[in-house]
Amino acid sequence: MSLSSTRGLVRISINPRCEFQAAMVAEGVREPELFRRVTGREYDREYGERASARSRGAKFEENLCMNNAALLRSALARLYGYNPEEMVVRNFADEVPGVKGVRVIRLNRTRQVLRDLAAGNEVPHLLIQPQLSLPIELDRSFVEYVAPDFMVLDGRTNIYRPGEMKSFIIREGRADKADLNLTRRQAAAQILALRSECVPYDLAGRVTSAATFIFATPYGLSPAAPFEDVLEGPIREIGRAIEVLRAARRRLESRRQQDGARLEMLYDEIPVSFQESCLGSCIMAGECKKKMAASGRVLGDEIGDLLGEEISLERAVELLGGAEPENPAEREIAERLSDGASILGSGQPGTGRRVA
Amino acid sequence: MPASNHRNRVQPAQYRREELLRMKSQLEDLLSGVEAQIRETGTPEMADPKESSGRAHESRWTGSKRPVRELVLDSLDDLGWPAYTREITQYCAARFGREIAATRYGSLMKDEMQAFRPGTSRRPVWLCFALTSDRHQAIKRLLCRSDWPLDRRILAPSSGLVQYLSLTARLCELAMKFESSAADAQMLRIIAADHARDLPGVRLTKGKFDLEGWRSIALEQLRDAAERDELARKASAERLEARSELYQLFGMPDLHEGPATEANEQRVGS
Repeated sequence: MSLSSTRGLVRISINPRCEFQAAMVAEGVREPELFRRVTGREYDREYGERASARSRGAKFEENLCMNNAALLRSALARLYGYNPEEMVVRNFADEVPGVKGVRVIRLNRTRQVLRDLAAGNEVPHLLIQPQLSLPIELDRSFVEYVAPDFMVLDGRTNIYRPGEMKSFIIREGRADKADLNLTRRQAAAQILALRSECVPYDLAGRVTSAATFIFATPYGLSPAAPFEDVLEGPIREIGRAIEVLRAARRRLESRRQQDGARLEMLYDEIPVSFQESCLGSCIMAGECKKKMAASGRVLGDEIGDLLGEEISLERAVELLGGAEPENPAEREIAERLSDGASILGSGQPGTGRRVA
Repeated sequence: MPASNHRNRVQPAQYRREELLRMKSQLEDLLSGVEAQIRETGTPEMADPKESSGRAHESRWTGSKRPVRELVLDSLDDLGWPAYTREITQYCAARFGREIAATRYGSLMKDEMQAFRPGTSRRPVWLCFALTSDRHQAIKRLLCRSDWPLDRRILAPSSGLVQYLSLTARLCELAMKFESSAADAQMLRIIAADHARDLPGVRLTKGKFDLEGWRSIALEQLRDAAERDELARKASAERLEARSELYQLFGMPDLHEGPATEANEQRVGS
């Protein structure tokens, strides 16, 4: 699986400070391959989504889309005031099947639907697996492809609304926060892409900041009631991720012009930013942790935030042992470390205590 | 071994292979023609050999030797309406005991399109795609037979529902009809049930197959939707008739729409 499209943008939005990750997305690398090229060995741990989770997700989607998307129509009809029997469906995965090389064709067909909508022609109520593009460079010389699971025509605003169907379980009307976090960012990228696609047809103003989500009930793979969510926050974060990606791409290009170095050769050169969320999401997490062994980040995000990038772990230990702070930042840290030590009763007050 | 010697040995073998492939294709065409003739003029058993109840006869027709193309064409003939590749796969497995890999359809249709090229021999019937009613673009997972009327090969806005209801009713009929002769009659009933589960008012009970009841509901629902749908399909077919047969079978080419987007299409996986 390559690190590009929405997946890449979501990853950047979670850790925008990691320049190497942004460069990985700009290159659209396959992570295990990059890992092998950087370290010289194969990645021998579990990578990517578990096969069981993937197959559950695929089955859930298949369930919703079979029989002319009967379950999906019926779920969405309630929310958007349609008669499910009269909803017209277009499934782009059936029209243009495949993975590679089909995105441009699906994108063209999606754009034709938007053009029809702008012209006031009849358009389908439900598009399954439509294709959108999100420009990273403003002149569209570089775009990310974004594919919502579906888009439903919202009669109130007469524009499509992107939607995601996930087999995550809803309990007492709520989904798990971690599940929602990634999905909301994914949908935010879709909203931005839809806005961009709507510009040539003068429809962008109709695209709101809301997306539609359909999750599973705890009983089998039947869909829970769909809900809409306004995504102003995630949209801002994805917007920032786009800027980070654009900058990373430009830096990489300009660096390449010097000696054409491959990305793996630049691993020691491009700054990384290790944080807790890297573990379990980025294949390079272990390597970056080693690379940042002197930083407080390796002890977790809270210690990393406390010490910042300026104060190393070694220096923090010295301050805790009573070394004289050399600047106001160190003084503040020394004070907090000392307070912590007192609370824990470590008997290491140190001279940094109560420095005026 | 010198390169020229190697080339001298490989090239004749390649020519021979191509020649044999050409002959194979011609034989398949001839066979299809003869079979079509038998269907039109033969005894009822010969006309539809796969409906024969005799096991020996059955095995000849369902045996692993039959080309996938024929199996797909026969499945479509049985189903009588455009069918999605996943539906054809399920039906083939239950009816004929033959598994068709999902990836097989891509190469099958590619071969079909290549065989249609000018100058190549004509086949009595082609496998083709269903087309969208507005721009006549191919719906590549929805397959048809070329000997069906053009309007049946078109998917108008309401045809999704009509296709689903038609297939459901037909699968119920086929499950009843081939109760004793299908390779896996229980699977055929399960496929019918899988379709029927989204009919209004239907609740499935494990092990119970109300095939006649489901068929009636599907046909009842179809009555409401079919007429309007047929009008839309016929109007679209009229527009398509002016186009070449190639477009009628395999769809109009997808034209580029909107700003350029192909710049980094090759980036993924690079």
